[in-house]
Amino acid sequence: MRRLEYSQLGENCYFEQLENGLGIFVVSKPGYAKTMAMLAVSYGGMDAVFSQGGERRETPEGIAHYLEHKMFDMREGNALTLLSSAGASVNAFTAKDITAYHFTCTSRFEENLRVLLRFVTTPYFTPESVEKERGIIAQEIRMYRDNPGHRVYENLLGNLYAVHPLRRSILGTEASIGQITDETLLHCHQAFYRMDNMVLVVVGDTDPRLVRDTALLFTGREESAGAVRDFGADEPAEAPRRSIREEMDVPEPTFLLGCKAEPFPLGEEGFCHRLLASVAAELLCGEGSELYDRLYRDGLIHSDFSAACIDYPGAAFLALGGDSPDPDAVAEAVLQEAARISAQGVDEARFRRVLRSAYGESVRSLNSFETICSEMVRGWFSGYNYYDFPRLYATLTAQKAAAFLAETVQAGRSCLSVVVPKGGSL
Amino acid sequence: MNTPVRIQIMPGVWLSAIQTRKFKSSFWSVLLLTPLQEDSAAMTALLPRVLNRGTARYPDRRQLTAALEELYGGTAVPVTAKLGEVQATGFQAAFLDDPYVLDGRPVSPAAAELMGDLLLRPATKNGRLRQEVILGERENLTAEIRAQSNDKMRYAARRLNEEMCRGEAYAVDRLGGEAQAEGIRPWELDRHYRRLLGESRVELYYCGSVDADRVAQYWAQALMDIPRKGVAPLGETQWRHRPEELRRVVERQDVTQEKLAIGLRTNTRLDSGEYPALMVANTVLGGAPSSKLFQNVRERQSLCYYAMSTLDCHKGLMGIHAGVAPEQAERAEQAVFDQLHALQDGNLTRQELEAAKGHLCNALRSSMDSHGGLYGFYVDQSQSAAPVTVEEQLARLEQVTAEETVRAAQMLQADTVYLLTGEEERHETA
Repeated sequence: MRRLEYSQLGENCYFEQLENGLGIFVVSKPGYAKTMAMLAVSYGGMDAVFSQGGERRETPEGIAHYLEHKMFDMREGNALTLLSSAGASVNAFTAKDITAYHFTCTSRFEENLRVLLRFVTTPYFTPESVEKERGIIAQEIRMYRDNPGHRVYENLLGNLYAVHPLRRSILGTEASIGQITDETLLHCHQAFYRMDNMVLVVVGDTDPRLVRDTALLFTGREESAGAVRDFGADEPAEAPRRSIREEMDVPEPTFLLGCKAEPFPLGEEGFCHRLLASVAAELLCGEGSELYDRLYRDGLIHSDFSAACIDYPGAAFLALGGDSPDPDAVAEAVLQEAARISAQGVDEARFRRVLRSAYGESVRSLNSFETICSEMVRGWFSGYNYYDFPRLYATLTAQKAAAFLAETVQAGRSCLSVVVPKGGSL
Repeated sequence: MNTPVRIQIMPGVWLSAIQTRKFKSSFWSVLLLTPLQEDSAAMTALLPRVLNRGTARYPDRRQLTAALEELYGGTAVPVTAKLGEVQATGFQAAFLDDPYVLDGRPVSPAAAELMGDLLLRPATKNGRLRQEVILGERENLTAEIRAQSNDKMRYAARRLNEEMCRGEAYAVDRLGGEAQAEGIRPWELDRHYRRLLGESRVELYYCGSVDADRVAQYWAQALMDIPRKGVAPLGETQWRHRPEELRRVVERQDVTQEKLAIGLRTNTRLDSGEYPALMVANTVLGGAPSSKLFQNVRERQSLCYYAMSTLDCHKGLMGIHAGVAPEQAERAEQAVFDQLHALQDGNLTRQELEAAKGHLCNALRSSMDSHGGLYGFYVDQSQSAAPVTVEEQLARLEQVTAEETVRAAQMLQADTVYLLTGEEERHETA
């Protein structure tokens, strides 16, 4: 195993890629009582359509999430129950591009790690167990449908993107999950849950060789050809729709303005884009910006207002929003501010402060085991290492940030998604 | 070891400081402690929100934000907590810890100074807190108090406390009442501010790479001009109470899931010798997935979506909370009492005891791994007559026997049963 030292950050980690392709990172945290392990697959809600052995395959929307639920079933019982009774706290999530399973414990780590590796790499479903899950997931779909924050985001993706599959919902619909069978689940498991498509990250005061030796026990069986991401046609730069609205039971309109950026490349260059985009968002409308100050004092935004750059393979966009009595006015103000920055540039002193602040926040994020695991997983699948952020922050400039905003925050590339109170008019 | 050093900065002002290089950030807190009272609670909660809107040096959020960005993106937030019948109000802050700065200049001295500014040197107009700021934040606080009713689980817990502790200081909510908040007048808040600065007990907390003595110096400097007049007595939380008979309260709202909340008096608090045994008894009963409530009332009988028990270590209360399907409340209540009585009768397997102790010890050990966990533990301990460290607490928990656990359960006395129901008609018992 290779030891990677980040002395400036007071961190170090061990790394090895097994012959079967599995990436393993063990981040040292001496003096900590708990250990966290995350096993992740590069497969998510946007992978319902993919290529395999040269053929294009279509699976029902929501299948990656359904599969995540079913993985906890093992021949010898339920993995959640097994890990909980050993004192571990367990969870999993399905994102657009990643499915991850993780646990945290203060004892019996080796035994828990074995269970994690076993249940994720071993598909076990029966038609009955698959059927039982349908009702539970249908409940989950209904619960999210009632959630205004979820709706405003899903509507944004659906109307900001014309082709890219991140516009499809992770959970699927009640109709689409009705088509999922134990056979389709098994097929997807075989296509995506392959060691060369997975990564294991462990954070804690633990022996890295133990982690590697345990992982070696689960080589997986690669019988068929692996899946290849296939998003179909290229996504145009323009947004197909400029606005979308939905009525729900909310006290005040809630909104998200999305602006399409050029997709980030893989590797360190892409990581640099991500860091730059995050700094640019803060410059445009963060709490220290003139725009935020003005909008807050005019009562057009409240303290819940926030902005972030979100990216997935083949797509990146700036999203900003919150509750507002007049989302159109906010969107207009944002576009104008971006145009002003495009013409006048970014204040150097402010840029330096925001960069400093971004660096500080990234260092502090290393307190969180969950953040380390998520960021290392994402970095592995995208071809970079999260711990390189100090060096990369130093390469950012005010000009680059201004250029990013000028290119990205434009009317033609944007969509305003709003959820408004029922019966009200805007 | 993550053990705090306790230093008195000046009369009535105490610092608990933990020196560690475990984290990338330093954590700071300043709290003014005052007796929880209906006529002042909302003002006490409002105060840090008003102070947070600007200092003399940085009179608006934008300039304050710029100052925090300069300190590598520090964060400072107003906070109000309830520790039994004591209300604590002030600020919590986190900064990049000194070993990670880029230019060799430590953040900590400036951090302490900024916190001192927030507390003591607010932006003012004609020597008073700014009226428009007070009115604006008063509205925000009132909305926040009102919004608490949206979370029905929390609402039921609050209503239980209000009913069970009617006539006691504890019945007052952490943020005060909505009517009180709405009625706060700027000059009243200003006067309350001066009074708190003059005589309330001040608890400072720090956790980071700097040693305790130096942190004490920073704070002494930052709080140098605090206008102290004396230290008002904090009073003691009334935790001894023997209920005469079981009270019942039923409330109706438009809810699809009913909330059952049962309040019990424990007559034990965190500095009692029996408290560790009570913690174990609570976990056995309803504090973990292995618990009697979770396994029997939820899993086996499917009577509740959730069923759990929690302790208030200052007031000597236990709350049992369950989310119940309509029509099931009576059966659920009976099932809950069955489990409690079973434990009180000595029905406790070795497996249940070990699972409960394991859960508690795991949680306590994990709490040392985060600022929030350490802070929460030691803030509670600051109100104890016999404070312990996390390590000492772990040792005490590990030694708790089955007999002690059952005895602690036997000391529990049911006080009030509260039900939030959606039904039009209900069979009520007196």
